[in-house]
Amino acid sequence: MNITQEDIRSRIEINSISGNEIEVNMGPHHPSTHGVIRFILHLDGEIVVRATPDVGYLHRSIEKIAEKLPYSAFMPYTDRVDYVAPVNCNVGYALAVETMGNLEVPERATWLRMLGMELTRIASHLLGVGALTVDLGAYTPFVHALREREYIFDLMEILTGTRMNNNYVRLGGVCQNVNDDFFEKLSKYLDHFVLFLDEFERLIGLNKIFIERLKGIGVVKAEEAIHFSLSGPNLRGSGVQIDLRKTDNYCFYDQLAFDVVVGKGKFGVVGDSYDRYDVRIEEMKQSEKLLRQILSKIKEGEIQAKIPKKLILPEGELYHRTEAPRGELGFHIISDGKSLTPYRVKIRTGSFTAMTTLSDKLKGMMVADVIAYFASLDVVAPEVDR
Amino acid sequence: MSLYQELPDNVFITSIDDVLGWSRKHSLWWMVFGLACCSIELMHTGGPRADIERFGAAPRGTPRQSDLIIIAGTLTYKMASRLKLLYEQMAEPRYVISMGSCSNCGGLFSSAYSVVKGVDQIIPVDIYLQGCPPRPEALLEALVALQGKVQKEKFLRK
Amino acid sequence: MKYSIDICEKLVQLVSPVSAEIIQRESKMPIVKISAQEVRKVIQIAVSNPGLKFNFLNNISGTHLTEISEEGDIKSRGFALLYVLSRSDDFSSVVIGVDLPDLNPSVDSIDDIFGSANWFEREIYDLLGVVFNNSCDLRRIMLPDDWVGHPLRKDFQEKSSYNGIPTTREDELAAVRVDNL
Repeated sequence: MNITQEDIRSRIEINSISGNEIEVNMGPHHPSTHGVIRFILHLDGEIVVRATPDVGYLHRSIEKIAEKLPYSAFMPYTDRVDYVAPVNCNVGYALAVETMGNLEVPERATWLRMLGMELTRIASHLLGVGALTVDLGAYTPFVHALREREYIFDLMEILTGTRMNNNYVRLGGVCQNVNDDFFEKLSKYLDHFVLFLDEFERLIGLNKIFIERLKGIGVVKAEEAIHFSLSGPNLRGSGVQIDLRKTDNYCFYDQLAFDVVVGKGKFGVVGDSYDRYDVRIEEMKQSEKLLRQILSKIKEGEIQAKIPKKLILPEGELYHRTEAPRGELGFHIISDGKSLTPYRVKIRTGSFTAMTTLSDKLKGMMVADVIAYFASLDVVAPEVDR
Repeated sequence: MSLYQELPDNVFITSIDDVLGWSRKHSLWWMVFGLACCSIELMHTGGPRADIERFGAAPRGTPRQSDLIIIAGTLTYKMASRLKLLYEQMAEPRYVISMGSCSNCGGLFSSAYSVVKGVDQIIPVDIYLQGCPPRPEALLEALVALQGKVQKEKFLRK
Repeated sequence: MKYSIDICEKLVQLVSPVSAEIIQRESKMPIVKISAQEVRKVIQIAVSNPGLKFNFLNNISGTHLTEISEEGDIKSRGFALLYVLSRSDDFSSVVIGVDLPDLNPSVDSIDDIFGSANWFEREIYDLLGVVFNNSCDLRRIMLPDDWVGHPLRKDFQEKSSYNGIPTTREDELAAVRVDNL
């Protein structure tokens, strides 16, 4: 059955205010830091009449490559699914394969994985918040965030061996161990980080122009957030109290105490862009608390269990999800029970469903608000396109 | 009357080629063309620790105002026509740094169906920088190597 | 993970007389298998019934099912779709699976029930070729508009060039490889 473009165009209705629209291309190359995503905006003056996002400019066929590689060889590709928070994606894939294959993970390895995940979550939220300020025109807070990210990269270099695209996790554990020097450095950094967050809030968070640009923009009510399958900080910013670290108990999150941060409509309405920004700042504070608890609970031990060199998973399929900084990261793995490579790997990311809100929400906004709303969703292009 | 050792220390004698090369290499303005993971390291190179602007290289958003394009990340077939368009909009003399394995040769994604296997299939490249992603110091070394190339150019001759 | 066999059995009970079968019972993720014509009905019951209330769509994924003969020929057996739905209060989940035939695979679209379903369906149409009837907008999403073929199928053959750009790269290190020494 052949569907042509004319069929589709005749079914999409055109909602024009005065008939004097111009079509503007916010092209795949633009100086905002979210990657290669394109918008085709139909404008009536400054107001958007219709917005169509066009993605696929970074489609690197990661899912097709997975069908040719053994399970443990696919790990570096999961780094590149979300390159701002690579350890989270590594752990998501490793947990999916280990759950399906009933593989054991030693205790110290799980604590080290959680340490990597929370440290990367802080780095990812710093970039998300920094990119939001750059898009609104404030260049200085972004450079402050980059300075903190450089400190975190130094710590990640000691923990994992590289600054980014770490490839830290292996099936059955992690790849390298750390000694107590690292824990001292991390503890000293966390003391500094709390003071930095306070300074950041005074620098930009309470700034009158920043608040005016973000309050009341792009309000997503709780029912709409569920209808569009938003997840992560975007969902919590609309007031829905769901955090996958609390609902699906994976790793040792049930042994740690932390709060689920929701948006409270601090300066505007619950679910506006300022709430999504505020949820990310508060989540960084919760991650710092989690890191201190992990430092007190981690013990000596093995870091990788022995798994078979030629790993074949039993026949069947599994969908496993974890909480990544941008939302729910799910791996759907299908195995045919006899080959060394998976039959199919599907990766479900939080940014993909965040993009589905756009054609609805951008109608009626001004162009500057389009940028503010899109930056508050914290979308990265490789998660959308994979 | 000889000039032997008569000139004070603040007078240089040089050739015009050298002066032109020296002034051109210290103001190479680059276009931000960050596509994928290497763009994060590109941002960090512009950041406070490995500061690229101390070499005179200021980031620009548009190809009309830039001499250099740093292609950081994986190029796909869907994006390839846009890269060609942007490269043709740059005014000559123009230079290209291909940053990272993906833009050198396809890199990690060489077996993918939607990835261009190397940016030099579309535009000519001056400096290839390897790494996945290359450190900020490596990008600065590529910029210094390009500066060496620019210094040696005979800019005014045909 | 929040899957349980009780939720699956409750769903099977509440959708009768539609026939549904639970497979993978002993594994960590039991799947409720239904036929392609009943997808809309079952999902509407799963969303609206007060005992179920699965109003959050986690994922829609598609697979090309094949079998490989001894000579290495790939014979297509059809397609399989998987829908993962969750409750928005405690995030417990249920998984619904559908099998589609090989020739002209098509199923009804659910993009009026869930706002995010349209993009999942567009991706499956683009990469696998499964058509979603009555979809509000079904066109390619990841690949260029003039691409020919559906790459995630197991029998996809890559062409030698795309719009003048070659799809392979000459091996610059061929002279020093072990095979050529």
